Amino acid sequence: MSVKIVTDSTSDMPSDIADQFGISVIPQKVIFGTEELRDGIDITIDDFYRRLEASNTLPTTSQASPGEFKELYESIATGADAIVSVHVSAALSGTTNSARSGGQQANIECSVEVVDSRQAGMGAGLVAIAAARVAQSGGDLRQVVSAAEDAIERCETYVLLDTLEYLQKGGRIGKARAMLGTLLSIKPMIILRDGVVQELGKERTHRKGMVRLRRVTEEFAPLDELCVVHTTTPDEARAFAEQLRPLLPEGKEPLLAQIGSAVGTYTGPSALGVCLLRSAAK
Amino acid sequence: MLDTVQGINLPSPWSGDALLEMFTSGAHILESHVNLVNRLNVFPVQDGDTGINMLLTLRDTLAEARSADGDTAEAVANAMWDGACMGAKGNGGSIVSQLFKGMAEAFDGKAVVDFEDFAAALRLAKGHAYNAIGNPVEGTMLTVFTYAADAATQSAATDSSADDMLASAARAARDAVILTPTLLPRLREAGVVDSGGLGLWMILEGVRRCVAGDDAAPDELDIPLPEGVDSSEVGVALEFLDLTEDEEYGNCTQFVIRGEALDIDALRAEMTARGRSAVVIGDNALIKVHVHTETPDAILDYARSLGSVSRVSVENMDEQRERLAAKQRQQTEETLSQVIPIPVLAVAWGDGLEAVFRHEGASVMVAGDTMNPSVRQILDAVEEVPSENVIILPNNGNILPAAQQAAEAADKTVRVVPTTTIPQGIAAILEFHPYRGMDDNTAEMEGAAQDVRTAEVTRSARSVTLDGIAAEEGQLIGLFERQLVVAGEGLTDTTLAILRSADVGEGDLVTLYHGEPITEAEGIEVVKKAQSAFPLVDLQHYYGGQPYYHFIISIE
Repeated sequence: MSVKIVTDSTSDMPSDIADQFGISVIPQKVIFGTEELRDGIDITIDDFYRRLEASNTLPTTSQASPGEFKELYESIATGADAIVSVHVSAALSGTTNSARSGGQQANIECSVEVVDSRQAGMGAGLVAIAAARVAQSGGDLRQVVSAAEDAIERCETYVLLDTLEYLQKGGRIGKARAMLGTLLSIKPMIILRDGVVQELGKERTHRKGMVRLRRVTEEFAPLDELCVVHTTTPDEARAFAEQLRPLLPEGKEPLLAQIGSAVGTYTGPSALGVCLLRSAAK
Repeated sequence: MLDTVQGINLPSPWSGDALLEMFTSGAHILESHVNLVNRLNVFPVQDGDTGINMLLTLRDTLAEARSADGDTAEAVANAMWDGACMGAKGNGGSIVSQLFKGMAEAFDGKAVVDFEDFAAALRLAKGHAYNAIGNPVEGTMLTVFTYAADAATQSAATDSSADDMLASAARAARDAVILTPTLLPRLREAGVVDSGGLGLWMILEGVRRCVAGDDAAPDELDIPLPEGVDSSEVGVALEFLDLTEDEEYGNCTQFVIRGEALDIDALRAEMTARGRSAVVIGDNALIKVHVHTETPDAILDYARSLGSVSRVSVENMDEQRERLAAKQRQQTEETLSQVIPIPVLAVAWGDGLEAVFRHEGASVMVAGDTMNPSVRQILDAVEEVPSENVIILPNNGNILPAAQQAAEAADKTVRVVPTTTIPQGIAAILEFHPYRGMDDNTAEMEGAAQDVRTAEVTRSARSVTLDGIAAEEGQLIGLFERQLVVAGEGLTDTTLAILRSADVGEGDLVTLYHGEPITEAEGIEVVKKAQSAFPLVDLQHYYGGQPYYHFIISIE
């Protein structure tokens, strides 16, 4: 018998990783003006960034509806003991509410447990993966949920941006507001804490920002899980992941993911960051 | 003042009254969207109101046409041209007036005109429009003229109705508007289409609607804008305004010359040579001139030697720019009022440099090379910082010792990050983090300060041979990390020599702060040349306002 794991597309989970861990991903929506597009289905991530750069107004994202959650839960409930649904921080999005209503409306035997990851992007993805690892090795509902909650405590997400522009436009600047006064052009670094954006630092050049990203990551080591995330620069992300590989336990691969529309609206193009799970030992 | 009957088909041939009605309809559409056309303009000064300029020109054109001597096409077109030529305002108005010059020529001797005549007028107008501009550039109204004239000519040769001809011309004009950002980089950067071109299309679209009896309301219009841009939000990117702000300077000078056998081509060449953005339109009896110059009196004297000069208007663009700058300063003050104070006291001299520190939340003590503060003065400044813990950035080797003494003597807990240059101080303050303790902050800021190199361009205060280089008093010299690397060269060569000494390359950031000894325009000139000499380096240019130093340069 088994516990099934669900997350949403704002987790930016690459489809091969979702398949590997048996995770179902529900698409969220991105809205440009009056046009509603399903994230990753109606619009590819690369097309999204091209439109974001060309557009003077920011797109908005909207969560999947309760009805869509209901359908998804019903479609995967067969043979499941329980469903654990891991989603983007409730401080940033109403997705967990949609998931809860969808779970209540679903005509299924098994229970649905909705987990607020207090994270966004692949940070939420890593929480879902931690839950899926336990589910795959036969864990029951209680064990899977506690694995997710434990991962939330050890999860960090931080990103080097190319410009303040998109954070500023999007208004999701949280406690990073102090950076807005800066007269010089800077490369801001932000970190997600309890679902809120905080300033991690600012550098004058991308190169110095990369050095800082590496140093911060080393300070979090030892690590259980590591994912390098990017918006438009896969080669740089891959090379950076290779540099960080020694921080992971022997034999464990760093993951790579492209930041999708939900988070990418606020980071803009040429952003690069890290999502990680610190080791339980630390 | 504009009125027209809508929804009535107006087939050719056209009388003078019909022409008046057609262009009244064009003015209506432009009027409905005049604010949009204004907002699209990429020049923030003098020519900032392209839409208004075109509309006012059209109004004078139509007013003159209403009092035309008779109802023939010839009489009305001549009146239109008189009104347009005299009323032409700004570049946009001057170019659009060529439309009426073309009509006056093509309709010569005709009581009524057919659509073939109208196509011929467009063709003539296009030629005049190109000639009116000293340096024609594509991606502007000129391109829209070309497209419209070519389409009209082709349609007049193959189709059989005025409706078809005008529809082709308007459609082609609209296509040309969409093309403008691909032809003109500054439009692409600003994310807009050409404003004058858009206005010209609106006029042609109004003419088309009037003739076709299309009674759509003037504000119902499928406006060609770049993809993803909403017409209610469109405006020139602020960043871009900053970049172009200083390209237009001097006085916007406009006047009319009346005379006999005036040589318009010679006058145009003269105006293009003497000023910028020259537009010269007219004929051998009446010429209207629009030119940006720093010496309007000399230009007017020259004009008076050719004929009788009237309708003189000289507007100081520097004053206009100053007003714009004042508005920006006010916005800066507003931003500054939202900055969260941090417990850092930075020493700086020059309003631009002071602003950089203030915007990070620091308190600023104004001092520097020839103005070294006493320990007492530093202590007083420390007292003013709204915090019990204070980090001092002396940013000058001569001020560092006093800062260190002040730190020991202060009642507050004071740390000194030993910065000896402004670039070090800026690198340090960017490293300050509100969530970090004072000792950690001091250590990290010191590390950041050591990561940046400093260069300076200034005048040698005395004749000296230093580091194997001889400099005479008053010569420009270049210092890199306080070593003399070049002397006796011009501003650009000095700056380039410094960058070569620093061995800057791909991925390096070079930030130049220009100071009191030079103007912003001189600064921009040097930065442009440095960028072409070092294409892979990220070069940034800010106003520092520091005395003595032409440039303070940060290399990281």
